[in-house]
Amino acid sequence: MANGDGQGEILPVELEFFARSDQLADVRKLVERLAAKTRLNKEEIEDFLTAVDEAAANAIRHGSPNGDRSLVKVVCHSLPTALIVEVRDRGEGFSVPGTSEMPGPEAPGGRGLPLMIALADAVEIASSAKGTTITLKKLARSSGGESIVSRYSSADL
Amino acid sequence: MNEENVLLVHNYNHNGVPVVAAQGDVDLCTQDILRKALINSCKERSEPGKVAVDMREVPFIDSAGLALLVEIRKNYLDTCQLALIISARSQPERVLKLGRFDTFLEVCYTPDELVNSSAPVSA
Repeated sequence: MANGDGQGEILPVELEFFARSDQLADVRKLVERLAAKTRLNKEEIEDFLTAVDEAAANAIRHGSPNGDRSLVKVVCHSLPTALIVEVRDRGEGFSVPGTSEMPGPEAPGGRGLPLMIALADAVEIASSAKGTTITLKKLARSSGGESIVSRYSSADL
Repeated sequence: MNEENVLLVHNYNHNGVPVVAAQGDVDLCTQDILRKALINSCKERSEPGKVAVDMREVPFIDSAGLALLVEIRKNYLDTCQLALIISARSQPERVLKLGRFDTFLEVCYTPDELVNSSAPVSA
């Protein structure tokens, strides 16, 4: 259904779930299903699923003050040539790191945000004491759309 | 666990190299299944040598899965030379390259490549 902006956006699809890691597959499945209706190709979809998975895993691991009784919400906006996914948690927020570089290959962790930035076309982080929202965007290259340089920022919700 | 998010593992031996074959997504939820299988294989080695992870049936791996590979490599450095068998042009191949895992782990595309090759980087 178009929303009247001329871009052919389909109504947002939301998924709210308890912060358990076994929900990650459902998140990926939802995003994959929506992505299949866009012009994203197979590789673009796989890359975006990775970015979304990392954002959702981050919410589960770090944005869930009540453990697996905490709620995480995923909101998906589909366009014919793009997919935008917001991952919202109600954690205590975090300081957005000053660097997005991939850590050394033998580092024990720290790859989540670098993977998001490498595999989505745009990454925005809004984090406060009330929670964190990570917004990820992927554009279909075949559409001729201009790539948006990955970025991230900290802002109040 | 979500019934559709199951990681299956089984073991086989390819010309003397023990291989842990995984089938399914390796993520924050399922990585512990692969961890246990890899620890078992590493502990079972009677002398130092390769242990391979056959990921050709793994369509997806995330940073939790990557961290697991680093953990196993670090904890069994003296006895197990970890190697990966992956599919070309797959999500795991791209993610492993982004993490530069090909610089410190042996990465192959077929089990036959394991036999005559050595790890690319010293410990």
